[in-house]
Amino acid sequence: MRLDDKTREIIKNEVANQLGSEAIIRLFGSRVDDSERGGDIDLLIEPSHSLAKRIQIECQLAARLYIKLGGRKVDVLIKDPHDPILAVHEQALKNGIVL
Amino acid sequence: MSSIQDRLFLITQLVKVTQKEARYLTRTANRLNELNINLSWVESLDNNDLHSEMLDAFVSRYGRLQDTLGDKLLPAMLRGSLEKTGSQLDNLLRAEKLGWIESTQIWIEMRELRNRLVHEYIESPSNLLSALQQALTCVTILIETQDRMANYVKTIEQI
Repeated sequence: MRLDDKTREIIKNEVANQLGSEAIIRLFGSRVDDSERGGDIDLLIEPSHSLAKRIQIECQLAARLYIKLGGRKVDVLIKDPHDPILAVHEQALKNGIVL
Repeated sequence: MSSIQDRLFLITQLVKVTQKEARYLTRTANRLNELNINLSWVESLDNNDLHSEMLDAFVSRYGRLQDTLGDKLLPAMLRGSLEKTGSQLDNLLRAEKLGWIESTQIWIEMRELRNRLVHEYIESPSNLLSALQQALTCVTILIETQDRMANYVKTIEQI
């Protein structure tokens, strides 16, 4: 996993602030692969409860992290416990690493 | 290094472009607002060329105005005001301090939203609907930002 401790802490704190500390955060995509370089930070987040405005919260969280991480691009995907599992979720659940 | 006149000329040209982009965005947003978009409207897009082309026009006009304002006019205005330009985030934070944009956080959220509009297209109608409804409410922010930046440019032109 290519994510330093400080970045990981910032991500975990922001997610906990917005969605509660029980939310599970998975890093997936190119940052999981130690042999690659750079790339966006792709996150799949599973909150313990349903969200009324999921897309809005995804955008808010991605923007907060972009600012807190000094302009690094973060893609946030939230998997609502009641939503069906989509192909993109499956991929992230299979290959993702829990932070 | 370009002269002050060259910089001002570029800024004035970009303001004109954004004025036109803002007009086009307002028109397509008004048309969509009149349609009272709901889930069945979104679900019918597959078989309705008129509506799906309206949606495409909206998404590209929204994105185009935001890109010209944030990625072209904003750095040009910073250079024109002899401010330092830096990364996209640096420029946005500076613009927020100068009062050109209201909030860096909201500006980035609007950009994220536009990416969703492109992606959710394929994924799910209900997600597309919620992204679209939110984007329609953000149009005002884009138009106000264009207005604010254009007004600031008017004040430097007079100097």
